[in-house]
Amino acid sequence: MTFLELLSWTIWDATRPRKLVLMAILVAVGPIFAILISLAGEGGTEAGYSLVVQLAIYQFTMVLLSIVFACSAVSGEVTGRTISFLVTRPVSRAQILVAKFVGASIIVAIASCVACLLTGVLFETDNIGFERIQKDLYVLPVGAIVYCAVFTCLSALLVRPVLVAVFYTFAFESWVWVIPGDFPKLSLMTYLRALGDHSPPDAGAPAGIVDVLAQLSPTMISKDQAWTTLALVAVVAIALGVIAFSRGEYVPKEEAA
Amino acid sequence: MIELRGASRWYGQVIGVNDVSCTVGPGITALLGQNGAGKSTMIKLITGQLRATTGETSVFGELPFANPGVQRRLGYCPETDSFYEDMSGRRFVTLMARMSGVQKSDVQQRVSEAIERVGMTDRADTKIAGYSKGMRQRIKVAQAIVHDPDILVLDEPLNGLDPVGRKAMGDLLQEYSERGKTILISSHILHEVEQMTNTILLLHRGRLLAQGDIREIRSLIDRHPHRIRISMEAARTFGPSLVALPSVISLRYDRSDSNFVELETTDPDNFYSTFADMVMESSAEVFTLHSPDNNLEAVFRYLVKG
Repeated sequence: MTFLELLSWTIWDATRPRKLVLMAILVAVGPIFAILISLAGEGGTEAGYSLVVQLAIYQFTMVLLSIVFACSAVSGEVTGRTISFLVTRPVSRAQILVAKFVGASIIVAIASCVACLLTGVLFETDNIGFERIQKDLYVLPVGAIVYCAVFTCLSALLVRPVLVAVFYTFAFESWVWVIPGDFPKLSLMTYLRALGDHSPPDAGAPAGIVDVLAQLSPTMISKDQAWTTLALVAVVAIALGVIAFSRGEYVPKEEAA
Repeated sequence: MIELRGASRWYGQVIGVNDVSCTVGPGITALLGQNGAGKSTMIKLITGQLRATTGETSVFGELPFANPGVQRRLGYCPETDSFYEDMSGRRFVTLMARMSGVQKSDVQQRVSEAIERVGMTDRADTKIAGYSKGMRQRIKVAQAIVHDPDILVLDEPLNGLDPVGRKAMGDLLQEYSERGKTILISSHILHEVEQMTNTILLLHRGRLLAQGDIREIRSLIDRHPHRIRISMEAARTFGPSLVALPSVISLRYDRSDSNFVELETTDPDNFYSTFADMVMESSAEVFTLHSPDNNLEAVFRYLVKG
């Protein structure tokens, strides 16, 4: 079986009706925010656009889509009890996992870019400038690849990868930028922000102790650092995932013994 | 072809199979055992889904775990009833055929043949979500045979099949057996596989209890008293004739049910044929007849105690 056939199957499998509905809802979040802000007469500013794109697209739509599509790469097959059809075939497990990762990345990248484009258009592109949106359209696929790599790896390593992924993205990444020191460097979002020329939400407008703390040691990351780190994370995550999947035993819990 | 040498598999504190040594060669071999006996674990060791905790499993002389060389020659029909529900049966079998190494140019023909062989041609293009249990079973078998493997491993393939389906499945496996293929079929129902093969592996609580010819094990069982429960019209008037039979060693009536009688026999086959003649002669109506000892559980009871 060629890699392309495997890839087209994984994309077909990932775009079943229920997941498509979920994808449509997640894609709509950014544009809905843009409409609400425009209706409130706050549209058209770059700071406003940056805030909506960061919170609604980067930290919500892209991350959640990555969780939905990449976390189910292996664990979805195990809980769906279809894993035995895959691991008893003469196709290398590495090929299966990489196909699932690439399939998930393509879907997440396309959906995130569509969400970003719609948000930008609804946010009055004329005032912001299309270059600003274009920058995000380059960065979002990178984010999709990195998050999908990490979550595909978790999927091969853990029985319930979604819990860990949700904790990392929503409990850790959402708040890590307010912790002084180098903690923000543990967040993938920090590097994506650096690539997309976005400041952390609320930076520059300290209103409370948390914001003041965040200002004490702002994490400065160059674009080169960001590219290197993200590339390294993606490669290491996929390599780890491939090793785990190639050596792992995947038997649904209820089938064991 | 398939060999287990002292193979054990533990799931934490729970044992799946325990020190199993056996060889499975060409022909049909039935893997028998009650639910939880370790049949599926043994099959997962053979199909390369699990590694043995201790001991060794080999297929064609190689370790099967994640081994494409072995898996190319192996067809596996899992017990699980889970599928990619939105796919049609044909698309599913096509995907499995391609993953099993069937060339693109041959795949359509191979898939059509496999689907026809299991009698699913009419429904092959509808979604699996709408299939009955029997249809799902057939599609699972189709995906297992589509690449014409040398070894066919079927985990409880007769579940959900009607008598006609069972007969068709039996014929299919016989045909494969005659072509020199190795077939391992698991079941927890003795009489289901008795009609297909005489070669059995008997698992009980993870241990291989017996292996070889089923008739030898049968004859061992038949030497022990066999209980038969009959519910029939005028059981009490029939009783003296039954107890007079040389093969019947005891007989018991039920005080609350005048139609019920339970007897013990040392020669069940002889009893069944004599009893059929007696019923025909007297025209008495028999409501139910069954033997609690004529099942796999009784075989285990006997073998474990023996």
